[in-house]
Amino acid sequence: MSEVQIKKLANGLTMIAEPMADVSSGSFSIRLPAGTARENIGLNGLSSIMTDLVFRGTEEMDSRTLSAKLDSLGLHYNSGSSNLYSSFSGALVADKLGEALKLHADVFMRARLEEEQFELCRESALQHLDSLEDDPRQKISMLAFENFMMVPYGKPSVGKEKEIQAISHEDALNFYKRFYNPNGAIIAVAGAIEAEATFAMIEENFGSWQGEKLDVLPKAKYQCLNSHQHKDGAQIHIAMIYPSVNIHHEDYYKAKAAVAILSGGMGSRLFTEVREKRGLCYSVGASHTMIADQGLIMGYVGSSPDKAQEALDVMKNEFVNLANGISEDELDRAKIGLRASLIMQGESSGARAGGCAGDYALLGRVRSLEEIEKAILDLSVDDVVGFAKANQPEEFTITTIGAKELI
Amino acid sequence: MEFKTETLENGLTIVGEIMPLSRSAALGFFTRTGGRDETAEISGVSHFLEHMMFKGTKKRTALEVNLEFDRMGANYNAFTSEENTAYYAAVLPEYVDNALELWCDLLRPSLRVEDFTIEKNVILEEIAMYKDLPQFDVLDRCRKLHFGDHQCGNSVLGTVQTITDLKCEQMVDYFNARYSPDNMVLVCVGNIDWDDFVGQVRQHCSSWQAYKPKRILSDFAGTGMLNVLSDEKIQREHICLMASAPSAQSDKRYAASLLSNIIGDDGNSRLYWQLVDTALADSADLEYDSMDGTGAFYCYLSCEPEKADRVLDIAKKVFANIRTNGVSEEELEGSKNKLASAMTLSGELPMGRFVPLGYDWIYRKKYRSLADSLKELQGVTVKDINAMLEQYDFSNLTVQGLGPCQRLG
Repeated sequence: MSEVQIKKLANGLTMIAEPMADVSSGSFSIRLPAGTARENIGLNGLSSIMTDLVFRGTEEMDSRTLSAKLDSLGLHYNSGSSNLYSSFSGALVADKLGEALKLHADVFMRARLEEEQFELCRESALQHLDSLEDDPRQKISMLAFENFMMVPYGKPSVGKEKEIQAISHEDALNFYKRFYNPNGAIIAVAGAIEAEATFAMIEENFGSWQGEKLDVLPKAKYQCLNSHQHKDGAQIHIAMIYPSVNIHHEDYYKAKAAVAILSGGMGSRLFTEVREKRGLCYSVGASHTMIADQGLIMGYVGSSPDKAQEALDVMKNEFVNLANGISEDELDRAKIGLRASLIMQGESSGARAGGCAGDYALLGRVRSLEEIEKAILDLSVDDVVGFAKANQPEEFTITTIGAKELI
Repeated sequence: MEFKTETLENGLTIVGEIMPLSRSAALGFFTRTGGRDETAEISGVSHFLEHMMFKGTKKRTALEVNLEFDRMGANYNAFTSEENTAYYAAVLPEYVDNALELWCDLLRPSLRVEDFTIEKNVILEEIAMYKDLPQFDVLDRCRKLHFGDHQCGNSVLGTVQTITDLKCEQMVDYFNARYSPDNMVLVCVGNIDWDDFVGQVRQHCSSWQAYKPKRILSDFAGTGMLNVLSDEKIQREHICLMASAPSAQSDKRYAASLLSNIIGDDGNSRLYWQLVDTALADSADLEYDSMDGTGAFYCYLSCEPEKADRVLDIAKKVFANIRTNGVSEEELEGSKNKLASAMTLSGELPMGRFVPLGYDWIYRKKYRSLADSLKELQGVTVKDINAMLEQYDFSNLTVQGLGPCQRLG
């Protein structure tokens, strides 16, 4: 595997390139320091509106021309906002990467941001928010993060109705000026590419981009609120969160393995106890994730009103029970699962571009797949149980949507 | 990359696309069975059976099956549609033999009553989950409305009633009638030693008995009916429109894929500019579903109930406009680029080639490399699309509404 190359431009933009053998595709993953944590108080939803608005025309092209250009490249595209960043990622045939990135330089530096288009973006954001009422599985994790974190973190990217209504065109212009900014921005590219040529191409397109130095965001803190939203549905949707370590902590991989034991494959504890043995749900799982620098473990289950309390109790018990011990076989299964998904990730340029940008955003460097693999394979049963003991859930943030409240 | 195929004496076909440089492999079975092959009494049995397939065999308990997949680090699952049930796993090359032996064993399941009774609850939870998602429910209802008495209108999940009433013996009978080796295809892609693979399949599957199961095949143009189910608990109005489309065997299917992309891709399409860009709807898309002997276009719209009539009217005008004026060269090129790029990107991974390979065999008994498929796609002209529009013109639309509205149109 080729080495990952990293280079920083004078304007603060970090470039990352990972050349890959045996693929013809090229993927990019761009992070701009324009996440929800940067929204002013009372303007939640602005970050996400901006990811829509910036593509509605540049100095040279209107919205339709820009869309047609992107389509002509066969670009497969995703954009969105999280706490720290707005992300723009795409995959296409590698020889067209340059053209795709050039269009992004236009979008990040020379977007039109017309008032009429802003109004449409705001209306779209309201429509999207409203549609989540019919999608409780999506809505529950948003509510759960907000319950768990203290502001400015945990805010949903989709925003809140009153706050979206309060956002003005001027707010949008200011947000673009301040946070569509090369300081702290990352462009990662992976696939059938050559690192030096890729850097030269990025520098040519983004080298003249300038922006102010941004304030450092406050440290993340959690608060553990609970909430219940009444909805006469066929299932009660339950999310539970408790704090864990972050990626800088020496126990990080122990935490990852612990969650894989709970929810890696279909032989893992949650699937076995909640679904296979008791038939309490269709969908159940847990994940280890981070919001800014706060690590957390989140579980989800959806279950009928007559079974939901039992499903919640069994799940809580499984989280607590980790500290009472795990078997060698369980750890081996978790390791193999993590290793296989790492190797399969290494086959996909999109997964690698995202991995490079994500690692750099969190760590200021990019871990090689070998480094991650070694850290996982070196873990012992005592390591993982030790982590579970030190990180016992003292209280859960419990968020529910459904026909009745649980205890 | 090399294509291979072999058929055993009992009719089980094996197809493979061998990529020696891959870091993984994908393998699994396609069975030509689904909702359309069920009677009303056992509605949902295909999908329930797919779940039961993981519950063990004479050699393995349910828990052992799950543990064994996990010990390979397999990325595995299964899905059931109106007409196919597929079981698949992506594994590292060193686990191909193990994964193959496991699938071959699982596809002759024990179907024990104890497991059946517990799993019934899981199926009922799955039905409940989809009931809470009107964006899925409306498509299911529209399919039923569109196909009327035709088998393709059968529900995949079944109902709470049919699942509750279903008996294990009925499932055993259904299994015996449908999982015949001549009704199945074993597909493998990636880093695989073909001769060795085929030798092992012979060992595991030669004893399977064949009995030539049948399927009722007929085309159906759709009822063109309108139905509105009013439910105040739902926030948005969810609308599904269906129209007839070319079948999976038709040479018009690439034209149909391109047309549905031009009309209803989720960005830069006719419906997008009319309804999503303008913030009238939060979703407005069109999908083409090619099926055995028939086919359908599905259009899904979601909006505020107050705007439902307007949104529906605009969508209908989009279809009328296409019918009268056809599509432009520029639109066609854009959609070709999007679809070709999607096929190329997913074709880089073994799992991405698994499904196209399976469908080419199940429906057409023919191998197409990625390059063949791209060539066919690129060969479609504006004339081809306009010719297809003469037969499939969106004039007979079936419409299902689900949400607060009492009536539509």
